[in-house]
Amino acid sequence: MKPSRGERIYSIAVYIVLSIAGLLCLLPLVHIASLSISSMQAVASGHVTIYPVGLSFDAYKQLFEGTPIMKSFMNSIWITVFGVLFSMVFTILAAYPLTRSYFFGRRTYTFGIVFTMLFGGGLIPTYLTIRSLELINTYWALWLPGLVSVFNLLVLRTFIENIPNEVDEASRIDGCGEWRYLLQIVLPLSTPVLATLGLFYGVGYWNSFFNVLMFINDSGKFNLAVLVQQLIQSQMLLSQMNASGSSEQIVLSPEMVNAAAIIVMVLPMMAVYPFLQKHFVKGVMIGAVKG
Amino acid sequence: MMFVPIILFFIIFKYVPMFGAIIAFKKYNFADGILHSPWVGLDNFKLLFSTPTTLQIIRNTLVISLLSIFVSFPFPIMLAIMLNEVRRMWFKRIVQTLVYLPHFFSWIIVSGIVVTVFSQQNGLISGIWESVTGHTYPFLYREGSWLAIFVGSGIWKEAGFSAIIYLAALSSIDPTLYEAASMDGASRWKQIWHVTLPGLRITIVLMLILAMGRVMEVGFDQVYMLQNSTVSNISEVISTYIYKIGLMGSQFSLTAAMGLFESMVSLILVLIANAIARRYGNGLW
Amino acid sequence: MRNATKKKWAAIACLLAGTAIFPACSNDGGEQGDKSQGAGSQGKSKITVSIYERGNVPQEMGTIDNNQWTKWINENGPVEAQYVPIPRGESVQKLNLLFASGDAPDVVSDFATSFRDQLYQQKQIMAVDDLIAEHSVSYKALMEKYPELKKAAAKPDGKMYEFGRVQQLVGFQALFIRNDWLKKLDLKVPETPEELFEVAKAFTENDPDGNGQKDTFGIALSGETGSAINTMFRDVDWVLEDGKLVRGWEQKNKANEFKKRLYDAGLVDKDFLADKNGQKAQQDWNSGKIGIFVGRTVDPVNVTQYYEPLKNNVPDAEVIAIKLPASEYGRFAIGVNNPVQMTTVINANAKNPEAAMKYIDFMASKEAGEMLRYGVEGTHSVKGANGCLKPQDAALFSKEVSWNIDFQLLMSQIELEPCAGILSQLDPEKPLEKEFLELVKQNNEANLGEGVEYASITHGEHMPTLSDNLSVIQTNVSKISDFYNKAIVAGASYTIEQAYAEALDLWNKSGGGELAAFYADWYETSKDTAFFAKDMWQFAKKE
Repeated sequence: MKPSRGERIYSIAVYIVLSIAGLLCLLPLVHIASLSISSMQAVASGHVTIYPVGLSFDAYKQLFEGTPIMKSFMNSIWITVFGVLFSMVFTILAAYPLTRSYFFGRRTYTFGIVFTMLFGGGLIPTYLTIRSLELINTYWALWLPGLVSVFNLLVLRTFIENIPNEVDEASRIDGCGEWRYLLQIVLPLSTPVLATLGLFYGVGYWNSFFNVLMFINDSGKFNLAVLVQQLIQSQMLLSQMNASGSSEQIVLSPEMVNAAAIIVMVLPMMAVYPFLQKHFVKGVMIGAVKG
Repeated sequence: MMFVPIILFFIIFKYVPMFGAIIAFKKYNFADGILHSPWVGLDNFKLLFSTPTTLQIIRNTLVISLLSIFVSFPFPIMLAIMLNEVRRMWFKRIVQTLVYLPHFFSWIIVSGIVVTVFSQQNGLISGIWESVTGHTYPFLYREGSWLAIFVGSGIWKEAGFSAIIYLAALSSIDPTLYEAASMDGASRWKQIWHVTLPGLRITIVLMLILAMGRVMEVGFDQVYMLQNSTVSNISEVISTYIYKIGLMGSQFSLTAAMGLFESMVSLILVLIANAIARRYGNGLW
Repeated sequence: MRNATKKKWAAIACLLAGTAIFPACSNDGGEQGDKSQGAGSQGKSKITVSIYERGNVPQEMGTIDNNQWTKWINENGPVEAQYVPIPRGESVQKLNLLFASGDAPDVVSDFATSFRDQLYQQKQIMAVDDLIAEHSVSYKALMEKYPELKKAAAKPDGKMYEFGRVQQLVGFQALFIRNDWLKKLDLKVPETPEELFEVAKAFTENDPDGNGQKDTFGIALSGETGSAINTMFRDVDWVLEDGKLVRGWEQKNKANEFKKRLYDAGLVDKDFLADKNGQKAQQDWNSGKIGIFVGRTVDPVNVTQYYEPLKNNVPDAEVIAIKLPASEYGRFAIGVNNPVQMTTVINANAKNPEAAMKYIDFMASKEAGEMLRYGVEGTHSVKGANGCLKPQDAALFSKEVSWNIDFQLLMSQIELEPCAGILSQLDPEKPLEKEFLELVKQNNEANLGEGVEYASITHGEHMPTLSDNLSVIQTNVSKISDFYNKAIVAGASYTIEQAYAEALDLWNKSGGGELAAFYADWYETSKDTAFFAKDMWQFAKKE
C-alpha cells in the first residue's frame, strides 16, 4: 500500500518537529561541554555559549587530579547497581499481589501506600528511624528507605493489571503456580515497564544526593552527585553570603571544572538509555496470548 | 504472603517516621526531643496563617502548579506518540536520547540558559522580537510572560523524561489493532485517536492522579532559580517561603505545620481525582 | 499457597542476607576510618569535631576527615580528634540532624551566626567561661590580648559560648573604576552620588572603549555593586537616629531613587534583576564592558577573578580602587571583613569538655596555625624576601595544602601578621600581582581611611538573632526589597513613592512594629556590651 500524500506530509512534519525538539534539548549539553573545554579567561568573561573558546582540557585535569572524582564515581555505581537491584525485586513483590483479585484488602493496602506518598514525617524522624536500625553511614540508609517508590509501584501494578485475563487463565489451566506465573509469564511480558522502572530507579539513585549528605558521615563514601553539588553550591553560597554579609573564605571552584564534573556525571546516564530503549519493543503481549 | 516484607517496609520507613509530624502541634526543641517537646495546639498554624502573605503564597502555589500540570501534561504524551510514529530506528533512538537529556541538568544551569535566551538586553528571543516589533519586551519581568517561561522551561526539561513511561505503555498495545485499523482504511490520525490513545488511557489516568498528589510541591529549585523581584507577587510559593524562614534559623515546627497543611490539600485532591477515575473504572483503589 | 509460604521465607532471608552484605559494603570506607584512629596517638582522649566537606580534596590526599593534616593534628595535638564531615552547602541541615539525634560532634564549627544562636537558645551548647579559665593557655592568652573576643562570644545571659578568630580589619569589597576611561573622557574620580551618575553616564554614552559602538555600561547594578550603592546612602535597614536604633526608610528611598535614575537613563544592564549573584556583571567587567564595578581585594584568588581576565581582554585597561562617594548621610566603607569572627562552639553533651578545650587551644595556637596555613617549611613553603613564608611550588601547594582552610577556623591570622594578609601573599615580581597589590592598598585606604565610617552599626554577624515569631515577620517583610526593585525597572508606571507606600503597608500589616521594638530595645540594653563598628575598627592596621 502506497502512503497517501497526507500521510507523507504528516510523517515529514513528525520528523521535523522531533528534530527541532532534539536540537533544543541538545543545547544545555553543548553549552556545558563547551564550558568544560574552554579557557578560564573566556569563561570568566562570559564568551562561551555554544562552541568552546580557547580550547583547553585543564578543567578535566584539575577535576581528576584535584577532586576525589574517581572514588565518587565508583561509589555512585555501587549505590546505583545494588539500589536498582533491591528496588526492582521488592517493587515487583509489592506490585504483583496488589493485582490479584483474590488478594484480600488490596484496596486498603493501595490506599495505605498512596497515603505514604502524601504524608511524611520529615527529615528528623526519618533520620531517627534509620539511626535506630543502626544503618547510618551505610548505603543501607539509602537503599532501604528508598526500597519501593510508590510511583513506580503503582506504574508496575497498572501494567500488570493490563495483561489480558486470558493469559492468566491459560496458565492456570497449564497448572502454573503463583511464583511460576509471576516469574515466567508476568515478568517477561512486562519487560518494557521493567526497563522503564529500572531506569527510573537508576536515575534516582544516581542523582541522589540529599539522602547521601544526610545519612552518610564518611567522606570516602560520598557519591558523584554530592561532589558535583558541593562544587556548584559554592556559587549559591556566594550569593547567600552577599546577602548576609558573612566573611567566609570560600573556595569558588572554576566554572569550567564544574562543567566538566557535570559532563562526567551525565555521560553514563546518556550511555545507558539507548540500551534500555531496545526493550520497548512492540507486541510482547500478543505473542504470549497466542502461545 | 510475599506482601509481608512490603508491609513491614511501609510501616518501618513510612508510617513510623510519620509520627514525627506531631511536632506541627508542638514547640519542638532538641533538648526535649519529638516526644517531650511542649504541646502548643494550633499555635504554629495560627502563626503561619495570620500573616498577610500566606494566602498569596498558597494561591501562587496552586496557580503555578495546576498551570504546570495541565499545560505540560499533554507534551510527554504527544512526544511519545510522535516517537512511536517514527519508522527509522536510528532517528528514533537519537531523538529519544536527546529529549531525555535536559532532565539531568540542574535548574542552576537551566536558569542560566533561560536568562541568556530571554534577557531584555541582548537575549536571543528579545533580538528577534525587537527586529519584528521595533522595541524590546521584558519577558522575564512581566508576570504573564514569566509564567509562560516558567511552564515552558519545565516542559522542555521534563517532557522527554516523562515520555518514557508512555513509550513503555505504547509497546504493550497490540499491533494487530493497528493492522486492523489500517485495513479499514483508517488514517494515521484516526489510528492515533482510536487505537493509540485508548491504549494509553490507563497510564494517563494514573499519571493525572499522581500529579494531583504533588500539586502543593512546586519544585523549589525551579522557582528559586527563575524568579526575580518583579514577579515575586506570583512567584513566591510555599517551598521558597519555607526556605526563607529557614535562613533565619531552623523552624522545625513551623515547617512541619506547613508540611501537614500541604499533605492535607494533596490528600483531598487525590481523593477527588480517584473518585472521578473510579467512576470510569480506572481508580487506584 | 504452600509454595508461596516457602517463598515468603525466602524473601525474608533475602532481606537478612542483604543485611549481611552490609559489612562488605562498608569495608571500603571503614578501613580508612580505622587508620585515622590508629595513627600513633595512644592514650590521648578522643573527641569528635565537625569539618566542612567541600569536595575539593584531591583523591591522593585522602579525604577531608582523614588526611595528612588530620594526622598531623592528632600526632602533635593534645587530643585525638575524629572528624565528622559536614557538607558545606547543607551544613545547617546536617548539623541540626546530628543535634536532634544526639550524634553531634563535641566541637562544632559553623559560620552561620543564626544557627549558633539557635543552638544556644535550644541549650545545645556549653558556656565556656570556666573551661577557658581552668584549662586554656593559648586561647586565654589570645583573649587577654584581644578582649573583643570575649565581647563577641557573649550570649544574652552574659556568659561566653563561642570561640573565634581574630583578623586584621581590611577592605573586603572594592569599588573598582576604569581609570583609562576616566582619563580618556577627561573625567575626575566621582566624589558624590551626582558625580558618580555623571561618570556612569559618560561611560555609557561617550564610547569609552573607542570601538565606535554604544555597547558599554556605566556601572553594574547587580550583586555587590548594587549593595554598595545602598551602602552609599546608608541603606542598611537599621540606623542610629538620636541615639536610637530605627528603621532607615528615608535612606532606602534615596538609594532606590538613585538606582532608578541609573536604570531610566540606560546606564546599567537592563537584566540586572536576572543576574542573581552578579556573575553576569563580573563577566561584563572582565570583558571591558562595565566602567564601575564592585569586586574584592581580600584573597589572591581575586586577581584571577577580577583582574587577570580583564587585562587579558583589554591589555590597556587601567583600574583603580576608589572611595565610595559621600552622600548626604556621610562617607561609608564599601565593605570590610569581620575582624572578630565567631566560628566554634562546644556541644553541651560533650563527654570530655576539657579535651575539647585542649583541642581548641591547640588549633588556636600559632604553631598549628602556621603549619596548617603554610604547610611544612622547606617542602611546601619557603621564606620569601619579605621574611614571610610563601608557597614554594604553586601546584604542589594547591594539591597538598590549600584545601585545608577549614581547619583554620580557629586560627587568628592577626597573630601571623604581617605575613597573613593578601599583601604578603602577592608576588611583586609578577606584573599583574604587583598592580593588584596597588589596588589592595588603595582599597584599604578607601575603606579604612580618614573620614570613612561603617554604614551599619556593626557587622551582620554581630547582629542579634530573632525569635521564631520575629523571624517570620522578618521573612514576610523581606518582600519589601521586591517592591523597590520593581519600582527601579517599572519606569513611570510604578514609582519609588508607590513602592514606599506599599512597603509601609506591608510593614504595618506584618507586624514590623514588633521588629522595630525588638531592635530598639536590643540596642538600648546592650549598647555598652555588644560588639559594634568601633570595636571592629580596633583591628585596623596601624601604620
